[in-house]
Amino acid sequence: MAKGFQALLFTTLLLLISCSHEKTRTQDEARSDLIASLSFASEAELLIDEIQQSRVTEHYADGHLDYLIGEIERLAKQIDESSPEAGAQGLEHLRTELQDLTKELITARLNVDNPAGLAGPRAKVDEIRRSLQRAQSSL
Amino acid sequence: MKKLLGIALGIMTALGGFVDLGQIVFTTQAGALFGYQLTWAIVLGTTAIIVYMEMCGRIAVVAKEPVFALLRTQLGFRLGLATLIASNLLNLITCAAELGGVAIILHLLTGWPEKLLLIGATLCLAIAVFLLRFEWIERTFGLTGLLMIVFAVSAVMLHPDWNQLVRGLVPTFVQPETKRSLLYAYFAVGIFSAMLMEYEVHFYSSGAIEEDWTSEDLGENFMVAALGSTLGSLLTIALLILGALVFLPRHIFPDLLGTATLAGAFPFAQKALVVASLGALACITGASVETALSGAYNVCQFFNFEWGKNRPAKSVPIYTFTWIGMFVLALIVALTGVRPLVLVDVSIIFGMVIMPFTYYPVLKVAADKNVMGKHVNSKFDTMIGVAFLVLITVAAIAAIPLMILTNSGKP
Repeated sequence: MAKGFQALLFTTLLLLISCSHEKTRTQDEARSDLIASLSFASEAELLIDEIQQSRVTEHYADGHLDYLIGEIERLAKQIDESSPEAGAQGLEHLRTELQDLTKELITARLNVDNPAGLAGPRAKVDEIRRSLQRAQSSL
Repeated sequence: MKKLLGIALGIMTALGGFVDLGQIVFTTQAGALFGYQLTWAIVLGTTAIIVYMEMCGRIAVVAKEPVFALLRTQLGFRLGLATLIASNLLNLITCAAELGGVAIILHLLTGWPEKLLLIGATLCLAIAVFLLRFEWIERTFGLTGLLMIVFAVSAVMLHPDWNQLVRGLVPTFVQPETKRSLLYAYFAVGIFSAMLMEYEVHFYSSGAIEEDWTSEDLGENFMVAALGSTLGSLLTIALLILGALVFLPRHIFPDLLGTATLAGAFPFAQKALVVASLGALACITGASVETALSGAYNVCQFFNFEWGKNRPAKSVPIYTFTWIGMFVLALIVALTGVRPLVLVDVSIIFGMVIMPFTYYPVLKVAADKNVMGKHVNSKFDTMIGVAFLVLITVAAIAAIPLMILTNSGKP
């Protein structure tokens, strides 16, 4: 029974390691990337709204925007480093949207203490979200 | 009166210490994806933890045996040792995740550099654990965790659909597509596992021995296990409601700790966000201490070394060295920059896989009349225990395949 348990642990580790080395973006992963991007855009919009209404502290706004930018950049890097499988279309469009989203959040981060300066990024993030939503409904 | 106060304090401590990073993440994400459809998983997990926590406390009182001493005698040395290694690896990963979470929340509260906060917080925690007696460690982190009640208040203020919530007590087996069915199963297993994390029962049964419980305390054991866990599960349901009401309509999948704390204060203003952050901080800090101490309890109980937080550090050198070592190793893991939420995913699923090996010996001893005498399980207790052990085993078998098939629960 002990050997069986050790084998189970070993197999688990192997599976986890092998899963972390995928390079090709499957259709399912591309769809998952789109959903994650839409989630980031929606969260960015919600966060900017909260900052505009002074419902979050400045430290929270700055720190959470930074974490969000980090997550978006991580996803963009994953997409950059993989090649799309046949049928996994739209990754190029997604890359552009994620770059734009990062840019807007960097601008928002510079304006966390200036609600008026957040109006521009808020509008652009809204556009990005709508575009991602259209892309999702066309799937 | 003193007894009643003791019970109330125990229940409040159990309530405040019930939630950890895994529950905050999994239940908020589950709510964001499936609304109230996974309420049943919380209720099932709560019932299971009540049943097994009560058994662990009873065994600790009657047989004076904590969980890892049972593991050695019931599973044999080799399988017991494998379980010890796996459990402590799990404790280490969980502790690293919790410390990472502590640093994130402190960063969001203060704006100070995250890595500096990570090192500073770990040092402060280690000093606090070194100086405080067991009951004060338990009370300090448990009672400050009560600040999490702001999450429950927020959930109620957002006017959840109570009928839908009650409907969520019954599993929804039919999902619109295969991927969604797999995700549903993954989050059901994740929530179930998060509610039953092994370190909680290791810590609880060791605590019963640390505090010298006697058979007169068996009533308190039952009350704390039952009421503390039930009230704690209401907080977990509140997290599910917040996920369903704040994130689901906006298509947000909360993949950051800060996102979950934002939901905890959503109907209110800045001050509530600070309270929600402090509540989450207390729970996560408490969990990091429990995992570090559990690592030391496990090693000492398995190899029969002297242990005890209430004894002078010099008289329990291996115990003291092990919990400090757990903190140091967890800090190193957290400093590598691996995201706490990734570690939590791994710890919850990996925790589910080894769970049957932790709970089986508990059930076996609690049902053994030779060991337990008149405090042996009733037939009903054993029947419920076996039913949950079967469920735990099924979930353990399904956990890894579900993790792979859903890419760790990515929608």
